Amino acid sequence: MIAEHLSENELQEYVSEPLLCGQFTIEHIESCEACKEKAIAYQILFSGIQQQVKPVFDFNLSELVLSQLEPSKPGFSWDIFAVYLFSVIGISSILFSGILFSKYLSGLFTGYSTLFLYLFVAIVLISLLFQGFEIYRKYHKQMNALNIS
Amino acid sequence: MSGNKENIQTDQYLVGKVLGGDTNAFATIIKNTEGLVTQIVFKMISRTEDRKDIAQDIYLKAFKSLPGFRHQSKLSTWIAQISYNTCLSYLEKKKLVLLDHRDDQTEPDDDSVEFVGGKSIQVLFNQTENDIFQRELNEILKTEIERLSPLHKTLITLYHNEELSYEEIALITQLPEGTVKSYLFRARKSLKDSLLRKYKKEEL
Repeated sequence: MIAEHLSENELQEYVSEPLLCGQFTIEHIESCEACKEKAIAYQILFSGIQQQVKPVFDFNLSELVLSQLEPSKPGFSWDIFAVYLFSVIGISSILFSGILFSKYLSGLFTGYSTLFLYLFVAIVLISLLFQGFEIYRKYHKQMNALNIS
Repeated sequence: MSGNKENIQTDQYLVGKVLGGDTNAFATIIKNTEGLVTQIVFKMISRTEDRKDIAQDIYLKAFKSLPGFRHQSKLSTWIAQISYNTCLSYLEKKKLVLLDHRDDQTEPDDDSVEFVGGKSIQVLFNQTENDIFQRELNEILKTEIERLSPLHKTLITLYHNEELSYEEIALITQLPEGTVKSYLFRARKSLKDSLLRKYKKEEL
């Protein structure tokens, strides 16, 4: 026999989230008239709430808001600032080193065979080509992810 | 899951467009979220004449803060959070109560809820097929919901009408999930008790 009735909390849970209810709750409600009636009261309540008419504004909110907006200007971004800063530092360092060690640079490629130099240039070009292709592929992938239309 | 991912992609696309200067994209954002915002404003703010200013204020704040939106939640949840906070500030400014504990003091004794005016609830349930009963019930319910405190009204609406999860409601109201569940429980119980009392009174 049923020793105790279900709590209000269990009854609400039974009506709003029946899949999460334990077997005990379901069996109890099936066999207990008092709890069944309370559950039905909640069912009536929940369906009544869902049938409430949704409120609407009696003015065009979108028009009202847009009339007060100015197109947004791209704001200051620390990320972009950092990218520019490191680029400037990098390029400056290369140029500064070039100027500083210019007398050594002229002799940098002397003493190597022509074949070795061609090989070196070819490797650098192929690496750059692959890197460029990878950046382009990644960019397209990201653009496709954003393009939902 | 895929719906959520799709939502985030749509949000990213729209936010990107707005940040790029396309205000029409912001009109789409308003259109997509207006229903939810309207529900929050209507439930939190009872003065009709203030709702217009508050609704405008919500979207102007959203527009201004859009560069800071990090897509950690759905855009609609984020805008609902702005709506809730804006309404909350209004209530604080006007010294109005967000949560009235009298909502909880509607405990009829257990026997009185099992029968409504001498009829079993089963009979009442069968009457739901009747349009007149349904209309009457909706009217009574509308009045009873209006009597709840702004927070209880909002929680009931977000859960039952907007079908948001406890997690989303917790994000919007910045309340712990357990607190949301507890407030919802009290609001539903209070509504059920008021409804049953109302019917009992009418039958007598």
